[in-house]
Amino acid sequence: MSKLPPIPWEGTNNNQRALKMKRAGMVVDLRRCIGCHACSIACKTENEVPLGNFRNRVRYLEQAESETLSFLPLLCMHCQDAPCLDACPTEAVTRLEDGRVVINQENCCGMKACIAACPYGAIYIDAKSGRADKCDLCTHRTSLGLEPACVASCPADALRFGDLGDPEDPLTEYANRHGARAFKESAGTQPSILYVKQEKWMEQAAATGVQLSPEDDEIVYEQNTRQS
Amino acid sequence: MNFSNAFTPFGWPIVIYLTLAGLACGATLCAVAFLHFENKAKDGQSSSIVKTSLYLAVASILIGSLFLAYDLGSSGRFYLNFLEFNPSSAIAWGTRIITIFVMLCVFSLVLLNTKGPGKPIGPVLIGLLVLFSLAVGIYPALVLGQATARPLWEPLLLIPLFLLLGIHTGFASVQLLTFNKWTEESLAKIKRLDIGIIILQVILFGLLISLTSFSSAGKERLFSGEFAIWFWVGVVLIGWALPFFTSFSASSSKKIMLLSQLCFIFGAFALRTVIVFGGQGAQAFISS
Repeated sequence: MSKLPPIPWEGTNNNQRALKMKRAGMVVDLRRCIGCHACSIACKTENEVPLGNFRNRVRYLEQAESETLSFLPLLCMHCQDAPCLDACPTEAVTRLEDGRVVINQENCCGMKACIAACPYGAIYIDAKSGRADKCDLCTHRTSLGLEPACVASCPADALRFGDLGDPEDPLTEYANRHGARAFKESAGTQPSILYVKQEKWMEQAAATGVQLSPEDDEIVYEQNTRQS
Repeated sequence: MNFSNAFTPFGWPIVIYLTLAGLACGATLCAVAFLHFENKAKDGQSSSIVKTSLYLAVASILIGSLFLAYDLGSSGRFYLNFLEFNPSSAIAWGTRIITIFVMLCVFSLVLLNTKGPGKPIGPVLIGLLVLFSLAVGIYPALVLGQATARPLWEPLLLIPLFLLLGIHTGFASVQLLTFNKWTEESLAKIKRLDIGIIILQVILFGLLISLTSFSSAGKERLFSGEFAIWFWVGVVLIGWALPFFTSFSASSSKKIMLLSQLCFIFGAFALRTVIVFGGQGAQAFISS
């Protein structure tokens, strides 16, 4: 295995927290999520995600028995055994030293092999550039010691960012204390985004109507109101 | 029917590309088979079929590659596939395999056209042609198989199925192009072979559906949902039933055989369509 690429901000100031990380990750506490979509909107704004695409989206899951809704924020899981990384023919998908999986736009030709390989539907083709794109846990923000935009915007503190590779990191302690585990563990990709109070039925429910199409009867995040 | 969304990244161009790659594999193996007989007979009778097969192989793989390039999000950056190499990617290997495959086919054609009938292609070149055409036939299955989250794309079953489809599509296409050169005897042999190939296809597809953890919702989409027409009419009726009963008929009329081969080619395309589209979608990759 060749040496991993350096973190882009290596050698700059004000990056102590990011550089110390062994495994950048997140814990999503589903008990706290209120389904407000603030994370989706913050992410779209922060990263200028094109119309129709999302790096982070909140799924509304209907629980038929209790007639209630559960909310499930989904984003790139920054898997430790990432299938997108293997599938990309041009090595555009790479892993940084802190474990996060990023797409090097310069190397991407839009083959979509990574999209097909991802069990989480986290990658999309940017309509403008024609290249694949996805969540990078806001590297530009974390390099400055800030939290990812979705974490910073969450009014309910449902999203938490930290180092899952450090047993003493508050995030690892939180994950252990609350029994956080991966979404779709059966995929076997060892995600770095963990969920608290994730229930079995959610996997199946999240699989229905994930794509936003005109036939979708769930919440419409955005509409193209531009006149053609 | 709208097939394209974020969860079905592989669309029609990819189905056509995979079909043409399989066809190239089959056409080359057909050429090799005839080269073998020609070398034995040393009469040069088969050389036109060999040339047609190789021309067909080169044309189909190049046209297929154009479809692939067209499907890229950034088609102008197709060249990156040659400059960058990820050894764990099936597509990266496929790019190299296809490049060498085309070069081998073109080199063989040059030899055939310059040296004339007889024994213009040596055993080493024939061996390489077999090796690389098999690799081209297997490669589409590995491309899909690398998406491990999609249960229907189980590589262990897709490899023999796609190889079978590719070889048969290639042979059928060569037959269509060189129909007047085939003898009644060889056509009768092909009829018997067709029955076996159809049965194998049904078995392999049946295993793919039953042994993999393909979800019940995915099966519903395939058999009674949006892909039902492709499956029941394209695959079952046109691809399997019509050629099967044609093969059993006493008549060995060339027109019927021609129609049978056309059905085979369309059926193979329909089966790939069902597998490529059916394997995608949100429903399909949930195994639990």
